[in-house]
Amino acid sequence: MIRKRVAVTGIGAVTAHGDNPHHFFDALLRGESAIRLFKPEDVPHPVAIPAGYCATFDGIASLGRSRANGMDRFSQIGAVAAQSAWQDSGLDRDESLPKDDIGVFWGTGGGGLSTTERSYRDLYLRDKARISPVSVILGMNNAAASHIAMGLGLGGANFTYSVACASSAIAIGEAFRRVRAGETPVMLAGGSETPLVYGVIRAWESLQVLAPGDESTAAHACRPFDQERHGLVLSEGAGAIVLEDWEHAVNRGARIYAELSGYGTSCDHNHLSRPDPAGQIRALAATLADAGMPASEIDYVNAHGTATREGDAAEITALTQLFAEHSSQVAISATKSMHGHTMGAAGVIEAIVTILALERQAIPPTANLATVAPECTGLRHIRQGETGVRVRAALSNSFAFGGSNAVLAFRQSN
Amino acid sequence: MIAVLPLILNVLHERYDIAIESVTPETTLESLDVDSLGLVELMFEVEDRIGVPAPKDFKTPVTVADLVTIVQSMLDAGQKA
Repeated sequence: MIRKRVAVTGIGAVTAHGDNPHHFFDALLRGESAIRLFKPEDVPHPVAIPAGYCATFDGIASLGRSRANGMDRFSQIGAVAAQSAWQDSGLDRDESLPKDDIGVFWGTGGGGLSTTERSYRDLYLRDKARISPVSVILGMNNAAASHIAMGLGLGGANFTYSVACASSAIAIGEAFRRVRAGETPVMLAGGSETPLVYGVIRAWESLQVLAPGDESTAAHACRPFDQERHGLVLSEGAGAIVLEDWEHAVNRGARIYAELSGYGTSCDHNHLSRPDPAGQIRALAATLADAGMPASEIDYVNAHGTATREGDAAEITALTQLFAEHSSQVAISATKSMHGHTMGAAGVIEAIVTILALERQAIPPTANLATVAPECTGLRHIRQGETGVRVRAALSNSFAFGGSNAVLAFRQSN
Repeated sequence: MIAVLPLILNVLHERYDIAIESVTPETTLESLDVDSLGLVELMFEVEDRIGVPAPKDFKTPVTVADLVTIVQSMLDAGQKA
């Protein structure tokens, strides 16, 4: 069986922090939250919640009016993130690339949510009998992946994974397997999510898991692992990474950010919304086995850490069992405290944070972590960004509603 | 009285980013990359702006002038109603 090493050679992201992943990482290291009170002057009912909104993103400026008008917002931010990852990899200048073999694996939970909402507004509020003729192709979950393939001319497999908050981690893991098996030298993987539409916000509010906050407290609303944590913060975001056969990357002199060395999945199979440490441990153990990595090699975990009472406690239980006597030496942080929960895009955005932690040998903190809750102790919680530390290998956790768990293991590149 | 040609040019610009100074009544929709789905979309937008539905079956326009004729007939029908 062919088993290639897999390099990460390009990264791109659009988050509430902006569209440069390196500046994004710098801001995280400084503990800077991009979460603000999101208060659209919406008809018929206004909402106001702490959220990560990509305020500076301008689809028309980035993609041109014609392309942007043919896309839902989740496709727009996805296409921009993918384009920037592709350029970052330098593969856009590689004439010999077998582009018909290169695929796009994407993740999204909700897909074209604003298109769906706009259509229902037309039908129910404006009493229209017909809705936009492009509603179907704008709203479908695989629209972003198709737009990315069209934009970059990538003719390989084009799949969209919809696995709630693990969607893009799974897209990355499945793409990783294709490159590792030697089926293609390169894959583009990632995900995008734009959940800040009225109906979706109300649905999350009803679930009673959103962190409260006002104009002055919104930036600090999300407090993973803290004694006073009150839930998650809904956010928009997109991220993309280029996965490449290691030799292919070395031969063309590419910048290698990190090695993607393992991927594991599992299902809790017992509850839709209450996470089970046993299921998470199976995914974590499967990842280490896949990477051929002892638990003692992991220096950092970018936690799923959404700041819900049950979720954070379950994740810490799983990690302390996995790391056993090493637990207190393993650094952990939940960067959702600063960029919020980007749902289907969370896996890739946090994978990018993990990759940059390895590349920069630096660990971003969990912001707003004043007092670690008793049920969340046991690991080395990072409360201030650390630079000049040793990070040999790191994990990025994605534990989704539905009980689907996915974990990615990365190694330092040299 | 709605000026039909400027309305169409405005939709073409806003939806398709077409430089409208280059468009004349004789310009074909094909040369503007407006395909059959694009036409449905364009008519939908026009309907929305003038508040009059398009007739169920109209002869597929080839040029911008054909489009003006269709939209003018929609406006006329709207005034009679």
